[in-house]
Amino acid sequence: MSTRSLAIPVWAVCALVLLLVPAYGSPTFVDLAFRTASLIVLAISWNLMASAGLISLGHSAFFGLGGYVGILSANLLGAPFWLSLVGAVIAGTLLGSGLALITGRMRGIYFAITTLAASEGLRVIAVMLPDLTGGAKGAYLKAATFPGVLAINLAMSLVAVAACIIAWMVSRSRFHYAFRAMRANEAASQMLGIFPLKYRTAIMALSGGMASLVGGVEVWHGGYLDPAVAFDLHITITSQIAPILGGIYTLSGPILGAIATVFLGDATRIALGHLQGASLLVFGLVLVFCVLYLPQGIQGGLLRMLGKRPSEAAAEPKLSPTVATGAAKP
Amino acid sequence: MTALLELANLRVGYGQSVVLQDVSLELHQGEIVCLLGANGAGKTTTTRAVSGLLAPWSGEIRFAGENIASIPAHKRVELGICLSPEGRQVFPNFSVHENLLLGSYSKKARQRRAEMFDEVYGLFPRLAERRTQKAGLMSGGEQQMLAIGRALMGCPRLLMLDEPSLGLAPKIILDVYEAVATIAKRGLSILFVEQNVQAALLVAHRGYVLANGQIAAAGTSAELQNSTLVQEAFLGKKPSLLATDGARGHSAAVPAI
Repeated sequence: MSTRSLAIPVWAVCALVLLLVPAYGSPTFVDLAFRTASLIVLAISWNLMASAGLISLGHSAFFGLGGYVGILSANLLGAPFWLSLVGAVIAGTLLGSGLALITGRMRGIYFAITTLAASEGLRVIAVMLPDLTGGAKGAYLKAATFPGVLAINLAMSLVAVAACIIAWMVSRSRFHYAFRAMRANEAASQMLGIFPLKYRTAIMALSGGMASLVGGVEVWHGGYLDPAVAFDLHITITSQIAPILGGIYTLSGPILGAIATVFLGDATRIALGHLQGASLLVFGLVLVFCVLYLPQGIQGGLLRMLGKRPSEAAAEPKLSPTVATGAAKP
Repeated sequence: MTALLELANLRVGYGQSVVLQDVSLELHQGEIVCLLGANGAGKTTTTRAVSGLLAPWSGEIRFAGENIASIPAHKRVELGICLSPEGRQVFPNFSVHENLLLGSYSKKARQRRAEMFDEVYGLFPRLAERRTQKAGLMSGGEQQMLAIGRALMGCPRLLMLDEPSLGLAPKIILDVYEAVATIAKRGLSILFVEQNVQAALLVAHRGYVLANGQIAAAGTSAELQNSTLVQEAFLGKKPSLLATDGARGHSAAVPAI
C-alpha cells in the first residue's frame, strides 16, 4: 500500500523538523514547536490511558507533580536539568501506578472523577505547604546550573519524538489487544486470562511518567510555578481535546490533534485577539464543528479522503505471517 | 479416581443475597455434564464461580484435585478453565480473528496458537470465512460459534459453555450443538449450562438439575430425560424427595423445604 509506505518517511521528516527547529528556527517557531511538542506528549499520554478504557480528568495532576518535582529538586537539592527530569518521570510513574491501585476496578465516570479529585487534592496540598512550594505566591526556579534555552527546547522535542515511538511500540505489542479488550469489556477480558489491574497499573505508570516529564521540562522553560499554573484544569482539557480532535484511540490522532489545537488556538488569538473573549469563542466553535463533522477526528477524515474506511484497525499491526497462514486453511 | 472438577458445598451470592445455597457436583476427565435449571436457579452463578469471576462465600472448588477457590480468574485460564460466557460477550469492535487471538492470550495458549487457530477454523468453517469481519456485525449463531472458538483458543482442560443456545433459532441451535458434540468426541471435558433441556440431554453424558441454588436432581441423560423431577424444576413445583441417583454413585442433594 502506497499510503502505508509513505507514512514512515512523512513521520520521520516531521520528527526531524521538530528536532531541528529549536536550533535553527526563529523565536516564534521555536516557541510554537515547544508548545506543540508539549501538547503532543500530553495527548499521547492521555490517549494511552483512554485506549485502555481509562478516561482521565486529572492529567494536570501528573503535569503539576512533574513540575514541582522539577523545581524543588533544582532549588532544594541543586539537581541539574536532566536529573530533575528523571525525578519528574519517577514521581509521575509512582503517582500513575498509585492511582491505578487506588481506583482498582473503577471505570468510566467514577474513574474520571477520582483522577479529577487527585489533581485538585495535589493543588490544595501545594497551596498548603508554603514553606516548600511557596504556596499560592508560587516559586521561581533558582537552579545552580542552567542548561540553556536551546537544551530545554531540544529536550521537549526529544521527549515528543520518544513519546511517539513509545506509543507506536505499544500499538505493535500484544498488550495493545489487552488494552482494547479491557476498554470493550473488562470482565470478558478477565475470562480470557488478562489480569486488568496489571495492565491498568502499567499503562497508568507509563502515561503518568510521560505527562510528568512534560511538567518537568515546562518548569525549566517557564522558570516559575504556582499551584494554579501547575494543576490548571486547562492542561487536563487540552490534553484530551487534542486526541479527540485528532482521532481518539489511534496512533497518529493525538499528534495531528495536538498540532491542530496549537495552530487553531494561535490562529484565533492572532485574528481575534483584539476582541476580548472572541478568540476563545471561535476556538470553541471550531472544536464543536470538528466533533460534529469529523466524528473520527482528523485522522479518520484524512483516511476517508484517501478512500479508506477509518477504523481502529488502521492503527494496528498486521498479524504475524505464521498465524495468518495457519488460519488460512480451514 | 479424582474428578477433574469438584464443587463441594459451594455457597455463593451477590452482595447480601445468596444464590447458590449448597452446591456439590463433580465432573470427570472426558465427561460432558450439563447443568439444567430455570431462570434464576444459579446456573450462570456456578460457571462464574468456577471461572473465578465470583468469589465463593464458603465451600470448595477443586480442579484436578487442587482447591482453586483463592486463585484469581486470569490464573484459572492458565490452569485450563475456559468459559464461553452467557450472552456470548464477544468484542464487537474486534474482527473475528482478533477475538480468537485474544482467546489465546495466556502464556500457555500463546505457544499453541497456530495449532488452535487451525482447530477452531476447522471446527467452524463459518468463522474462517469471516475472519476479517467485525464480530458485532455477525448473526447471533456466528457470535456464539465465535464465543466457543475463543474459549477453545485458551487450550482448555475444562470448557464451560454458558447457555450456548440463548436467543438462537432452533436450526442454529442444532449447528451449535453439533459443534459441541464434535469437540466432545476429541475427549475434552465440558461443563455446560442450558435451559433447552432436549438439546442439552442429547449431548451430555450426565446432568444436574439446579433449583433455588441447590442440586435438585442428578443423573445420566437417559434418567433425566424420563424424570418428572426435571419438569418440576422447570415448572417451579416443589422438588420432590425422589432423587434419581447419579451414574457415578453420588446422591442428589435434596432441598429440605
